[in-house]
Amino acid sequence: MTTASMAAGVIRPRIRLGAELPLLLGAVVLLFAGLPTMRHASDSPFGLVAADGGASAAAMCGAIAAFVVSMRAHRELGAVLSVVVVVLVLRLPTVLATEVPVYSWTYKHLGVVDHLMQTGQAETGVDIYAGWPGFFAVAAAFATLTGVAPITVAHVFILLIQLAMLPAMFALFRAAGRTHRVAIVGMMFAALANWVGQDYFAPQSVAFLLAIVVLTLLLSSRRRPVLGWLSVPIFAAIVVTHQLTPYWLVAVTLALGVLGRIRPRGLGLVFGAIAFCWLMLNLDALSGHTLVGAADPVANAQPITAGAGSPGQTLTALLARGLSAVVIGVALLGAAMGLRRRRRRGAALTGLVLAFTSVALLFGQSYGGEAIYRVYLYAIPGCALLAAPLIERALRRRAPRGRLLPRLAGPVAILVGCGAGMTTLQVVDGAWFSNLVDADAVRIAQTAYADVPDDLMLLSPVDAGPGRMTADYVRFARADQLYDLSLAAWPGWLGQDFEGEAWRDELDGAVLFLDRPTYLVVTAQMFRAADYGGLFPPGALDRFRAAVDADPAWVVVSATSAATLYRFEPSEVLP
Amino acid sequence: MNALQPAMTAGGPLDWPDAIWVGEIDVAELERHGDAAIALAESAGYARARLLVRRGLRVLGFVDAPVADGEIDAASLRSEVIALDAGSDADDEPEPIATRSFTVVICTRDRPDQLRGALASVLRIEHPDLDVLVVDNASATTATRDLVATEFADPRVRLVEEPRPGLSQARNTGLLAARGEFVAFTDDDVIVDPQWLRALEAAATAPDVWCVSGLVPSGELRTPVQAFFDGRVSWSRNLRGRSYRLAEPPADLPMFPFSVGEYGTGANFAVHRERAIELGGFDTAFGVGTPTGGGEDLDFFTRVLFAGGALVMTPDALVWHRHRADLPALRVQARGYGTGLGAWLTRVATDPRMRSAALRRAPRAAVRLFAKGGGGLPSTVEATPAELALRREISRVGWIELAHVFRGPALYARQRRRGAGLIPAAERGAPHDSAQNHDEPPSGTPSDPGATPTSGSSLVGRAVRGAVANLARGGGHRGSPVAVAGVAGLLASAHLGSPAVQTLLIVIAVGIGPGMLVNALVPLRPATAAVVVPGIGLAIAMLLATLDSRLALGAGQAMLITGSATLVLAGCVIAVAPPPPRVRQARAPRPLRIPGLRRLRDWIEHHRRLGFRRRPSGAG
Repeated sequence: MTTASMAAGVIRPRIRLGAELPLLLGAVVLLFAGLPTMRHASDSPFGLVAADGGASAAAMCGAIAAFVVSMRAHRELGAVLSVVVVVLVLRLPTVLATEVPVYSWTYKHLGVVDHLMQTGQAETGVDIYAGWPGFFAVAAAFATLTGVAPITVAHVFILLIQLAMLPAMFALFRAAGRTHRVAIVGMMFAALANWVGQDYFAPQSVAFLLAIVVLTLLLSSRRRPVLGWLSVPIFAAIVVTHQLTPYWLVAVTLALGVLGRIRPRGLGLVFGAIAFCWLMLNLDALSGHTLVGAADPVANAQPITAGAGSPGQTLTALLARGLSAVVIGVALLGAAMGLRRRRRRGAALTGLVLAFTSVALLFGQSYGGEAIYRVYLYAIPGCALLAAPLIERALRRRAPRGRLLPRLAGPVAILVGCGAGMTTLQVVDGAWFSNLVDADAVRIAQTAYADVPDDLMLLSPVDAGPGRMTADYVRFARADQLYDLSLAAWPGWLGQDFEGEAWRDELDGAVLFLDRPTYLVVTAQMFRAADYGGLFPPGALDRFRAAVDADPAWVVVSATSAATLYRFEPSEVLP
Repeated sequence: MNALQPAMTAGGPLDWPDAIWVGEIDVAELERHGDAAIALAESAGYARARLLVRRGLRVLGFVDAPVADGEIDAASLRSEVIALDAGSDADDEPEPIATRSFTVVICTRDRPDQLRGALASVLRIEHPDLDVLVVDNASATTATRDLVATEFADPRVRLVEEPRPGLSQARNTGLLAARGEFVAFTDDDVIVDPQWLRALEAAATAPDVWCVSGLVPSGELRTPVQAFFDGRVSWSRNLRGRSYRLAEPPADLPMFPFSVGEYGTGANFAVHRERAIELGGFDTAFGVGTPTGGGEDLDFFTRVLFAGGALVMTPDALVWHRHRADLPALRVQARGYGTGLGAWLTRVATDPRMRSAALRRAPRAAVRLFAKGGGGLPSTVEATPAELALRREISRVGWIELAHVFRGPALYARQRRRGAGLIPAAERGAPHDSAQNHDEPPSGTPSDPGATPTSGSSLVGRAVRGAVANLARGGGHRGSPVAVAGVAGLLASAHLGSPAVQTLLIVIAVGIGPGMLVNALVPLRPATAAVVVPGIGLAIAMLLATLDSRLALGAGQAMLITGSATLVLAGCVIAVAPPPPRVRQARAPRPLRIPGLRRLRDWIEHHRRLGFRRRPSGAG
């Protein structure tokens, strides 16, 4: 832009994509070229990054480099595209490198949706979902009205929700008064910091996205209080959708109200009243999940670790902790710098509230061992708000001519960024094979149990796979809440080496004693999950399957390369 | 007692068996008269009579009486009148004040025969400080000027010309040229009561009274068309005198301040001149002689209330009106009433303050509007086939009026585009003595057609300016996405498309519709709107789906249809509403520099223009 045009107030739009364009194109080409490899990759305990021939790692580095180059050259279009490509590198394989949705829990949610589609009502009487049916009900309505199968929606869900997070984060930053450059950095920061994997077909994914929208409105409400009120129906939708997110929002809103960062300042009380009323309506469904005021914060802070772990899981967990520490550390640094300046103190306080209010959840709720993941997830927007200005300033700084060290700032930023990107990639995709659900197992789960009596007992060595994915699960669970408890969860069976025949006799005896129609499902995913989590000694599951195959009491109902379904025949055991 | 005179001389031959002779009688005269039959002048052919009963200045009500040989029975009449008098809550006759000066403004257009009667009746009023202004509005002939010059060479009478057609335009001219403290407006097809101004003045005692209106009874019920019209309008029989103030909503009028039927009509009202000029006078978007055809009185009355003035309705101020006598004239009038009402409703909808008040009363108003329907015609004798056909035609007039209500918004928008509005602020301070008499051409002509209308309140002005700008841009850029989303929802509810098409329709309906509706009412910054708009749609869908599933209603389809229809309706309403004020930022955010988007937009715009200019080959 010339001085003359600046003086005249004329800003000429320019399409400028410099060095970032080939970088981005290269990243996209690498990503798509690597997808077939990812689809047929051999199992690796170190995840997809180690198994895809380096395609995703190279694509991630290309996108990060493009981002740094764009930001330093003030070409924000390239920076935005870079963030999109980073999200594609992280999440596109879940759509294009898989046959069916990843994550076993996805299928539990599909079962609730199927139940809603078949019966029209949320009341299952067997799980907590009936009390918070917002997400399931809207998913069922969508499937009914459009004819799109819920499993198809679940398959693309992770990518869509992550892409939707980008404008949401941008809007949050703009509402917080940040410049668009800081907002773009914030988008990238949040995309890289979000390794938690709480973005699959689940209520918390939508609740978290809507929570960002609510926060956007709240931060805008200081100048326009009507926007604060506008957030109330969105908050109400979160309340009927998820058990945890509303309480985080209540805490954040109360804190922001006390600090005078939102208007009306008492909006947190309104939020609290709504959340409390809904809680009272569903108090029965909560037993065993949430005991407000009686939770153990230390126990809540522990992640779920069932087995001894594999080297791959250990590495991934270490990287996750390191990444989290860096995210929180940079956020705290940003907060400290913000608090030093009076003009930025308010914004820093807002960021601190958003980042660290979620810690209170550890004291308030017992959430099945996942609370620590939620605490980190909820901290991401606040950490991004605190850290992004710092990073944006670092990326903005121009190198004075003739000085070597400042001129290295760009390459150093690329290196640091690539390090962060690679770390996130490893953490996100480290458990790829453990989470990869077998299409054969899905087919079995869709069809095999339709005509089975209600008192079914469904055994599996490991709790992994598409369990409970049809509405039939409701009648099975009504008969027995633990009808599909895996052997790894049986007392004393975790870590079993499956040597000898004693365990088999014990298994057959137990099944015979229960006198219920019993099935056993063994899938390839269970082997991968067991290996990744170190649930059983090496070779134990092979021995298990060989023993079952040799046992005449277990008759093969369906067998493919990836999944085998057995039915227990008592007549073969009884004399 | 001499024979009672009709309120108005017959406007034509009498050939309807149900025709009613109309006149008035004073209680005191009736008491003095005794039991002899009372003769009615010019009553040949009439079988019934309607008498307006008054005691001095006070109007008590109407009584109907059978007419036999041009006379009515005094005894039966007396019993009815006594009952009326006893039931009346009218207090004693007010003391005449006669301390305020009045200018009577009659706007006319090429109807010298009717004007003659109206003007003569005005000049019969005895008032110490009265002048009369005849506004000759866009006349095609000099008949009006000639009439005033030749037959009303009275120093109290002046004539001004207003070449721009439209009753509001003419009234603004009269208002600016008037001298009196109060300006009384009436039409040229009326006969005013000699006590008219006295009654208006007596009602305007409170200092905050900006407007006084009176009763406009039917002066002639000679034809079925006139009888129909008489039954249809409330202002011809509204005997409830009362004061209206915005801060004091009457408990018995749930539609207040939009109870326009209670406020009187444009043929009989007076305004405090200075207040009316401050208010901007009459909105030239409305009124007979303009495309909207009416509504100027409704608009003025409600603006008086919303501006903080008091409006007093007194039945004692009488102006007899001659309704349209034949069907074609009635149809024209019905169309004007319909479009005028529709235009006025649009005006209300585009004013943020009025709109919020009106929205709360909208359901009740809609019921009243449609309940009014076609109306009917009372009959006392057995109708002939020809009369039955006429009755059917007359009944249709009501539906004509109702149908034309829906034309009002477009006509109002057209008027706004043409620059119609209130008296420009610069002209409101014009001294009243700049008014011209009929020997000099008027120099103080009102409203500049190009002027931006303002109406006393900056909020109102903004709203009107917004509506003009909105519609000038092609109209409804905020409402159309809402309506389109609603249509998408309706299409999706029909389940006609493939899953991909259904998905697209549902995403449009849910992701855009509710959020854009909110965005239209509470405008958001683009970055915020980009996430809040779909967020609101998703949230509402989740809440409704939750309700449906928790209560096992099975009403998902019904909810989609209802919600979509609501969006279509709301989108259409918003399309004519003004854009809300821009979001004001304490710190103006820097625009997002994604230059590709702007360049793409510029490129499209450039080629679009090229496309428009492209001439067909061979055109030279």
